[in-house]
Amino acid sequence: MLDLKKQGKFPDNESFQWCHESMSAVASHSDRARSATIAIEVDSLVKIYKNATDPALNNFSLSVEGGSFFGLLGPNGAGKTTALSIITGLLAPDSGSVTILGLRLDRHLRQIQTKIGLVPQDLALYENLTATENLVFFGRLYGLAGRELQTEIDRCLEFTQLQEQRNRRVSTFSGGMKRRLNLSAGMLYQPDILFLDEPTVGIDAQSRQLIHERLTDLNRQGTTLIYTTHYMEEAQELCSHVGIIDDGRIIQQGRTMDLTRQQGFNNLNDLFFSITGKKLRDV
Amino acid sequence: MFKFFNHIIASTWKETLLLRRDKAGLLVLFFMPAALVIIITLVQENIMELSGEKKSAILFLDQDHGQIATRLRQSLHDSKRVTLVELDGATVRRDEAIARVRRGDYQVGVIIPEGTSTRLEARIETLFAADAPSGKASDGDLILVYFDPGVLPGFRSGILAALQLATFNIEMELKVKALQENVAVLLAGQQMMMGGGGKKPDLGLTHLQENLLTISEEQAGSKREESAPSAVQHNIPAWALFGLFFTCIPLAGSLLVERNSGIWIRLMTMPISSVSLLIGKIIGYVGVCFSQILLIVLIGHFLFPTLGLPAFTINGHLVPLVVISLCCSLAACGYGVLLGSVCTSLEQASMFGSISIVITAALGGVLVPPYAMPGVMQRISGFSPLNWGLSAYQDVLLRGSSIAQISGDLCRLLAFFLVLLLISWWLNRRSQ
Repeated sequence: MLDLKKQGKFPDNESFQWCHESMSAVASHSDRARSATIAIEVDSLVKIYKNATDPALNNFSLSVEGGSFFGLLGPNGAGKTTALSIITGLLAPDSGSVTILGLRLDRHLRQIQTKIGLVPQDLALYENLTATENLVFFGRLYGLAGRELQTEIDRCLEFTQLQEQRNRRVSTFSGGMKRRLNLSAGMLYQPDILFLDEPTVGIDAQSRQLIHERLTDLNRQGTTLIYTTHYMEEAQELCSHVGIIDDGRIIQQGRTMDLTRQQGFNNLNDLFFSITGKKLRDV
Repeated sequence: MFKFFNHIIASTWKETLLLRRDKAGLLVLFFMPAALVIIITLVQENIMELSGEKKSAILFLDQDHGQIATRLRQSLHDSKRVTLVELDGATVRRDEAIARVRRGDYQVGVIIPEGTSTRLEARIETLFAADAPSGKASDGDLILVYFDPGVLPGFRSGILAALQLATFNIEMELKVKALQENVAVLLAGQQMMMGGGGKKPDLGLTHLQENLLTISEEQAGSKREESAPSAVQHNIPAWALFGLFFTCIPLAGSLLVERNSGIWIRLMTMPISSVSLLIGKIIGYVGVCFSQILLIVLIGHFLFPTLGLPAFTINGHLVPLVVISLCCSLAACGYGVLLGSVCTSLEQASMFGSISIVITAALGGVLVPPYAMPGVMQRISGFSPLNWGLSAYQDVLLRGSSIAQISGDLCRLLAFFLVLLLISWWLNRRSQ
């Protein structure tokens, strides 16, 4: 992906949307064109947990275009985490397939892992290490070393505005700083696809705003972002595409603006409630 | 392969940093065993010398087949403090019996050399004769007692006292019998000389005090290599092991922190093998274990003499001791990994880990030497990894054993480590 980005094969978001529309118009070339720009193709995933009566994923299919900012939305227990776990290789499906950047996940896991990054919902940081030490550790695991590692760490810390706090232990950080560092760690090695599982939970408005800006920048630079959130306003603001999941399958999927307009809603929030209902989902 | 080692180095570096920063945890890990080894050794130094209640098994090799062996056997049996395990003196050689004691199969071996009874009877026969020479017991009148180098002074003193009492009784009985016969002869001679105003007959009573049977106390190992058995030589390896196994709790905690936060999820989505991460983690904790052992050895060597205790010595057995420490550290780390896989919280791991280690330590002979335990407990003790480690340490420190000679215990410790890692791997896989 690094190479693809450098070669300009992944356009920025606006160009990509234009490109996508053009491609849609040329039906005869669509399949070949799509296969070149599809970042994630998920086909009929089924996952039933042990001792569960209902499947967590029930013929879950999804297609994410390269360079898009994709919001995966759904109520609690809809299957978002299971879907994300399978797509990132953490969990094996009972059936179905996942293809990432043209590579089958079940056959090329290690190769795919060099192209993806994850920002988990729970903070994935060592509290007793400094910001830099955390990034050095994760960077080394990606095979970075020496000047290259240092440059990458500087870039990530600058990106999330944590340069001043680089030598402070994470345990002394505020919630917002931890979230930003969590994002920095996921950005190391400049992944082609970055998965973000509710990265702004429980932080102040300023940190949230900064994370939004940075994610938009990252997406403009060509990184495909898969974003799960419970904040519909956030998804409306950030995501070029959304997929709404319920009962283990995608109910609606498409460009955010198109979906809301086509369904006759003013915003994503109304669309979401019209699809998933207002009944509480206690799991 | 380069990447794999690079990941191990990264993981070890991270773990070392985290351990260095966990000052409270390190304080507990180092302070606790150091305090234990000082206090317990000071307390046991006297208690072990005074106690001796346990009924002990004595290997008995009768090459004499005379009345000394018969009476000593009977006397020891009547004392009810010991259990005799008889060896056939006609078929078993002295070296073989000593070897069994040296190996620690038995804590004591008593050997009655051939001809002891005949020589003693001949000596007593002439003892009270008027022309009897006063003399010391010859070499042939020694009763040889071999001790396992691992037994503590209290046990040794108790056994020696029992044997000395038994030989004293036998010797005194024979002397009195001979004296009775001699008195009769002397009295008859006195009557014949009645009225002659002769002097009182010499009954030779001074010979009663002569020691005709001597207990010769030997250690079953090569003297050059052995350290004097003491509470210090027992407690340093024992409590070092005890503390070392406690490292399993922070190791389990470290795994649980990673598993219960997002760290494990992040690591599992990275292009790395979980094995390299685990190896890196284990290397960090093996380093902690070695530091612990070093601290306790230094305390034993330099601090103990200032407290009036004998100094702990390793007698140049550095390499075998390092190998044992490595195997024990790996076993402790294996247990930590298992705890981290089975438990769901740090509290669970702390509680379960500490209680299980205390139980395993008690079974393994850290608190009471296995030979002083009841038979059933001795058999159970053989399943404790602390027993394998302690046995290996004592074999080297007290018996001068080589790495080859302790390979059984080392293999058991390594197998324990590998089996626990496999179980942990299977549990993690199943939970995924």
